[in-house]
Amino acid sequence: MRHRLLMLVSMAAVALAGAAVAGQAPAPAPFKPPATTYTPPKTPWGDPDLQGVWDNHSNVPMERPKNVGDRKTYTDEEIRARNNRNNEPLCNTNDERCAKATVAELDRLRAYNSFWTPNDNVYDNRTALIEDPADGRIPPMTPRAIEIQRAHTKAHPPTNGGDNDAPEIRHWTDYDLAERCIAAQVPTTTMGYNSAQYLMQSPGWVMLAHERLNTRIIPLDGRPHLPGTMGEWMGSSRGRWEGNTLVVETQSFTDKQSGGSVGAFADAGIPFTNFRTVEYFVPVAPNRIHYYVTVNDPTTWTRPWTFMQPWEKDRQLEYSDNIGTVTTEPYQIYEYACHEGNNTVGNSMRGTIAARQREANRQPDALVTRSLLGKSEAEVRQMFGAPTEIGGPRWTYSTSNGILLLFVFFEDGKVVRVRPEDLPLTDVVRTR
Amino acid sequence: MRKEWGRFLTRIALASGAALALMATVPTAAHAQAAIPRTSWDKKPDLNGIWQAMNTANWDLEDHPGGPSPVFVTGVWGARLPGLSVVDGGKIPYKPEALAKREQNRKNALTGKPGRNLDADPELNCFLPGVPRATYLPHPFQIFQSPNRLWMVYEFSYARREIFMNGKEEAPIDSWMGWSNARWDGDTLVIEVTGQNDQTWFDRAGNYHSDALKVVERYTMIDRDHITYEATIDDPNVFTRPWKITMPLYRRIEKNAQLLEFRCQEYVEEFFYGEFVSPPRE
Repeated sequence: MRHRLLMLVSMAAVALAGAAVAGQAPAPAPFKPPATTYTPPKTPWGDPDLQGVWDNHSNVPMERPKNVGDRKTYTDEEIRARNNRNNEPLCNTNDERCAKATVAELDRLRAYNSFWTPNDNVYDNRTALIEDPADGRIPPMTPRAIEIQRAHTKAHPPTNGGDNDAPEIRHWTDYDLAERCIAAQVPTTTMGYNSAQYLMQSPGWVMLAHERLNTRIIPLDGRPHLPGTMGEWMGSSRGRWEGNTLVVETQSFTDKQSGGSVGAFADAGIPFTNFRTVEYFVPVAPNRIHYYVTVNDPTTWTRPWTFMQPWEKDRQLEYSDNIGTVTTEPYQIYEYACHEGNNTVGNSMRGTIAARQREANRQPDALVTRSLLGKSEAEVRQMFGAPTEIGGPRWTYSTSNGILLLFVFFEDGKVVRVRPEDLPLTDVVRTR
Repeated sequence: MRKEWGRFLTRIALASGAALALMATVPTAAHAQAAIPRTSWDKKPDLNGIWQAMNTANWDLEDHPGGPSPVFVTGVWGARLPGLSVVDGGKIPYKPEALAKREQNRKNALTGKPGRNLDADPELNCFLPGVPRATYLPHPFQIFQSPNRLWMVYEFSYARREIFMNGKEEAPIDSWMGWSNARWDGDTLVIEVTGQNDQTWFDRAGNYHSDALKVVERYTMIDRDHITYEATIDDPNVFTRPWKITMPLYRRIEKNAQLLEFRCQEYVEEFFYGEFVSPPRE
């Protein structure tokens, strides 16, 4: 008995010594959300009542941008400037790229994205979503995780670059799980558009119906998690009330689940296999939840980290029609039916087959539309006549019976881009 | 004489019908009074729980004998399970031209070729099932009920419906699962479902509808663990009159009952896209 005790003590001493030798910082205290004085109404069965449609549209980045130093919040003027920047010229897909974009590039980004991406965000004056660690940055990844992510990125180059130079799609798994209409990441951050969820409660259960893709059913009765062998795309979530805060622990993700995709908090190529997440739904005002997520996975990050996003309930959304009449409606969750209309995956794969065939029959550059690069507006006009349509920097040529042939993009009076690049010039002339 | 005889027979039929009805309803009504769970807030039947139909209506709403699998390599795994009609009166009252379309659907139900096939049974493609088919797919579904709020979530593809209690708004646009407005009729939950598109079928046997479909569902708890489910189907483009299906729903009473992930989108990827895979570049 005494011998065993001695052994345990000496083992602990060795472990401590090891830590000291390696120079590791002591493990940070587990994150706890700050206390709040707000008391929400109760359901008839006595749980805090958080039911309704919760909006989490946001343009606050996950990590604190380097240029704000250690400031945690923006001033209201800075937020106004940021929102104006987002509105005109509109570009809110990716801050860094927008900041560097030329007017022509902004126009191209705007053509697709402005319709989808609302600027009507839930108020949040912070510079980053990350609350812990205090520097607002995701902690360093482990060497093992870096290796896995590097291999993944090599095998699956990012497809969602928002421009026309996406890599080949050879296989459906070149797309992420959301593009395949399977699921979004859980837990979920902002989804870009339709980023809201219905929180429904019944005795012993919480159900979260995200407008896009996910339906999460969370039992509150203390039942065990699904075993890892039953791994699910959304993991296995179990919830409980701690005071007025809903605490949900999730684990047992399928090993097919990996980062990236809409609502992603983890980058592409990070496997979810060992993730354990804790979500805290903290009601702080009648229409506001502070939604904290602690991510634990010692095989991926050197320490746990926590981000927070404010959710706003039952928002009134403004819609203006093209004559400027503004109407207001409460946020309603509609059917998303992603898979039913998903022609993207199949068409992209067929596109790869077609592109490879074209490549095999490739003609010399001088004979195809690639040769237009650098030419002036007058030269293009001389070759093909007046364009069918001019939209900003983009000229469109169609066949005489209206079939789209060619886009030519100008910057400073010269062709900077042409799509497709390998159309024989004679085909353009012949069919016009 | 013949007339008399006929009247006599009718009287017997009526009397025995009434007796049967008494036998059927009296114990049930008494049972219901005693045993159905009720909500604490409005004393209405408490439908919260995980439910499942236990029948083979998804194969065919009408009578269907057992049969071999339509795909021989799946052997008896894929065999058609026998079942009696869940349609009141047995047959669906198709218009003649609509019946021809049903027969055509039946031939196309199991496509012989890969790819998204819009002529095939939508279940084959993992498309959202619509109402009432979602109810009797061979999967459980969960009802979430709280004051003035009601949701149903189905295990199949996580299909789901927000159900508007005392809702008056009409469907703003057609969708796969439709627009559900509900009210209580005594102890029966009545849901009117409109705004369903014309892409869903009722079963694997090609029974179908147009976008004029209107479904009225009735959920009546008959005891703690059973609901009588009725759905009246009205679609003047396809049927000569409204018709009704009736079936019990059973509570999943396992302690660990829960919906598990059935993300069938993933299960059809090879089927949809397998023929378009390109080899890696050399």
